[in-house]
This record gives sequence, structure tokens and C-alpha cells, in this order.
Amino acid sequence: MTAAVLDTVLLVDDDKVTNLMHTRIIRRSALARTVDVATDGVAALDYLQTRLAAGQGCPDLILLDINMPRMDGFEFLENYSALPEESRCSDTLIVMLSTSVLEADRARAEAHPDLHAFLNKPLTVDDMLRFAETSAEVRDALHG
Amino acid sequence: MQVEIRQQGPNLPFEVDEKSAAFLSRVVGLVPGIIYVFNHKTMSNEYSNRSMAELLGYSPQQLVEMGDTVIERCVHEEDLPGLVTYFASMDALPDGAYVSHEYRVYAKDGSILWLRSIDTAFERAADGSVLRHIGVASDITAQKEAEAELHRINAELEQRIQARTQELEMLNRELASNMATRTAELEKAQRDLEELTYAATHDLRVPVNNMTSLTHMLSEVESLLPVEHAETLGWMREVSQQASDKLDALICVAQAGLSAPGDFKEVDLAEATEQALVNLHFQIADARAVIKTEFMHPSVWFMPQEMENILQSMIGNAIRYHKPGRRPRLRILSRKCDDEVEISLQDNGSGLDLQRDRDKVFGLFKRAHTTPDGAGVSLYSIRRLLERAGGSIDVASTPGAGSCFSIRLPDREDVV
Repeated sequence: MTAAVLDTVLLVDDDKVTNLMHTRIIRRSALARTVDVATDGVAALDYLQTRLAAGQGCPDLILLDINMPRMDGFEFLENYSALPEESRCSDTLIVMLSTSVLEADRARAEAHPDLHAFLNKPLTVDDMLRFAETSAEVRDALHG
Repeated sequence: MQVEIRQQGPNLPFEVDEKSAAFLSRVVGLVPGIIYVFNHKTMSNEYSNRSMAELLGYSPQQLVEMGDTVIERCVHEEDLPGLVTYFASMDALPDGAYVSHEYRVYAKDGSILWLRSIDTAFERAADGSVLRHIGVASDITAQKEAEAELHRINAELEQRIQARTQELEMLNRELASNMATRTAELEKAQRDLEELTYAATHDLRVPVNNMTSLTHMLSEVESLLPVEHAETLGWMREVSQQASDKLDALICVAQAGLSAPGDFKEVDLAEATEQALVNLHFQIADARAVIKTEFMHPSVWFMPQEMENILQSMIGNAIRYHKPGRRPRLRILSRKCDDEVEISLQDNGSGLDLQRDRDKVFGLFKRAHTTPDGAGVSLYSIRRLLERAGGSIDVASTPGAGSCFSIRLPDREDVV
């Protein structure tokens, strides 16, 4: 079975090398057409707003780091959840990707209704496969 | 009137004319208590203004029947010897002098009344011994009862205070012992943390250094690698450098937080700033920064090297976070402020959104700026160091217009 391909993946991380590595992994998986990068929560919110304003729709997958300057991953989730319905992306999977070893971070992340999953870095091709499948299911469920 | 006098009591024990008798009768009728003349031979009252019977509840007839046994029958047995001694003591009393005595008597119904008598000799025998004395007896039962009640209440109060004091002492001892236990626990936790930090930072140092060395060794053959691997090698160099920098920062923080504070000295602020500016020469020249100083208070009581590091770090920050396209200007002021010395650094940089980022400015590994890179360590370390010395650091800022960081340290006179 061939997994559905994602259109756009947004990486939200302030670490340059992590972004480069994740971009390479996603490219190798051949499961996404475009990989975009936002370096913190504020940039990610701006990115979503700009896309929606331009009628480009939402990314299919957001990979969210926790520790970032200006606005961290949790703050991004709070701000994102507070957006009006039409500014949110109902069929986007948001995955928290972290190196956090704190159980509290995992529990906090998993309790968040808008979060699809909590993963430890680094991202693998298998992870991407699962996300691509789930994303296809979500889109099918929403749009028939 | 005369009729009334005769009814109230026996005849006066001496001869008076009718007018005097009437007057005396009125006077003694007004006096509260019993006025009496007591005969020491018969040990009984010869005269009283109103009947003792009334007070004790006996009928006059019964008192008459008791005769000279009234005293021994009515006076409380414990007070009887005292009363006899009291009577005898009047022999030695100078004429016109008064003595007073308190004693208990039994009423007919068995209840006890307290009486106070004030007496003086009335008639003496040739040898000076008292034949008769005259006195006033008042019922002081209510007063005695009130006194007894007061004593009881006082005693009870005293007891309650003692009980409460004991309770408090016990609680205090418990608290002291709890605190000692807690302090010991905290000290142990602190030591464990210090050891952990030391081990973590120093044990990581070796593999991180090795990783850097290995990356450099691999870089020698970079030209032989396929493009993608060469790219990976570049990232590895970057990551090694990052790891090394973060570790340095961690060690720096661990030292700021855990090492014993060094020697405090009078630190000349102009000198410390000058040294910091020399160290920052290239950054200042590069940014064409303008730095003005005004040290209204010339010195602080701190560790000289640390003060220089703090100033260097903060001046460095001001230059690093200048607003692009605007020449960085920095004013460094010092002044005495209450019992503290305040050093403030006002810049015209990009400023901070404190409503959003206040926690990040001084937080460990937290950064309020996206660019340029910083470790998120220096302000955290500075705050810890200052707080350990009894000082503080705060910031006021307007986004886009600039920030003002102010350090406060206790003035030397206040440092014990």
C-alpha cells in the first residue's frame, strides 16, 4: 500500500541543524511535497495567518519544538487554541517533537486537545509514514 | 422618737439627757452595721444599735437565751482564738486608738458571714485592762466572696497561662526540631545537586571535546566525501560547537549558583566599566556604539572580577540587541538609592515586550530575542549572583525604544 503524500509540513524549531536534519529526513521519506520552517511560536502563528490570508490552506503536519525563544511550543498551543475557529486548521496534525526528558512535559502535552502526538527527537521515516497515513484518514473523515 | 429608740435596742450604757439620747439614737440608726458596747467580763454585748439577731437570723428571745455563750456559739471555731487574742490586745491599746479585726460568724441557718469590727477601748479598770470596748461590726461577706472569686479567677487564669505557655514551649521545641530536620534535608539536597551538577558538567565535557576533535579529524578528508555527507559534516561541526558553548554556559551557571561567594571588596565602578569596555573594544567599534557613564556613587561592595563580568555582559547585550539601523547609545549611571547602590544601563536598543517576556529575560536558557543567538544564560547567572549577594536586578523597557536594566546592591555600611 502506498501512503498518501502530505502537501506541506511546517517545522517549528529554533535550532538550525535540527531543522536541516528533519528536512532531510522528510525529503528522504518522499512523503511531503514542501517543508517550511518557522523558528519560534510567533513565527509559526504569523506563517499560518499569512497562508490563510493568501488562501493557501493549512499545512497537513506541524512538528513543534518545546523550548524556543519568544514563544515556546506550549505557548504556541495556547495561542493557537485561542484563535477563532476559522483561523484554525481542523485537518492539521500537530505533533510535539522534543528532547525533553521531563515526564511533566509529556503529560502536559498529551493532555492538550489540539495535539495529535508527543514524540522524542529525532524524527524518523517511520514516524513520517504514520503521520501521512493518519493525516489522510483525517482528511477523508472531514472531507469525504 | 424616744419610743423608737427604746424599741431598737437596750438602754445606752451610760446616762444621757433626752435630747442627746435622741440625737445619738438617730446617728447610730443611720450607721450601717452594728454599733455595740462589749463587756469583757461577761463576754457579751451590753448594747447594740440594732439586733445581732437580725443579722444572724435568731429571734431576740433566742439570743437572750444564749446569754454569754453567744460568742462561742456564733463565732467560727477557727476564728475564735483569734478573736479572744484580739480582745486581749486592746488592753495595750492607747486611748483613742482603733484596732480592726475580720472574722467569720455562723448565721442561724448555718451559713457563714464575714464581719469586720473596728473597736476602741471604752472603759478600763484601774490596772488599765479593758472592761468594755465599743465597736462597729460590718457585714463584709459580699466583699470577701468577691475577693475569693477574684482569687479563684486569678488562680485559674494563672493556670491557663501556664498551660498555654507550656503548650507554646512545646510547639516551639517541635518547630525548632522540624526546622532543623528540614534545614538538614535542604542542605543535603543542595550538596547532592552540587555534586550532580559538577558530575554532569564535567563528565559531559570529555565526550563533547572528543566529538569536536573527531569532527575536526573527519573534516581533514571532507573533500573526499559525497556532497550530502560533507553537508552532514558541516552540521556536525556546528552541533559540536553548540554543545561546547552550552556546556560552558552550564558550568558558568553552576559556578555562579554553587560556588562560595568570593572576596568582597570596594569595587570602583569607573575602573570596572573601563575594563569591560576594553574587553568589548571590537564589538563597540564594530557597532560604532556611544557609551556615556555618570557614576554619582563611585563604588559598590562586590567581587571585583564578577562586577567587571556583569558590566561586560550587560554592555555586550546592549550592543548585541541594538535596533538595526540605529546607532547604539548606552548610558551607565550609578547612584545611592535609599540604603542601596543602583547601577542602571539605559540603551536605545530593540527593547523587550515585558508583559509577554518578563519571565524569559532572567530565566535559565530562556531567550526573549530570536536574533542574534544567545545561550539564555548570562542574565540568569547575573541575577543569581546578585541575589546571593543580597542584591537584585530588574528591567524596564519599551519595545522598539530601548531597555533600562538596573542592578541594586546593598551599600557597604549595610553589609555586615
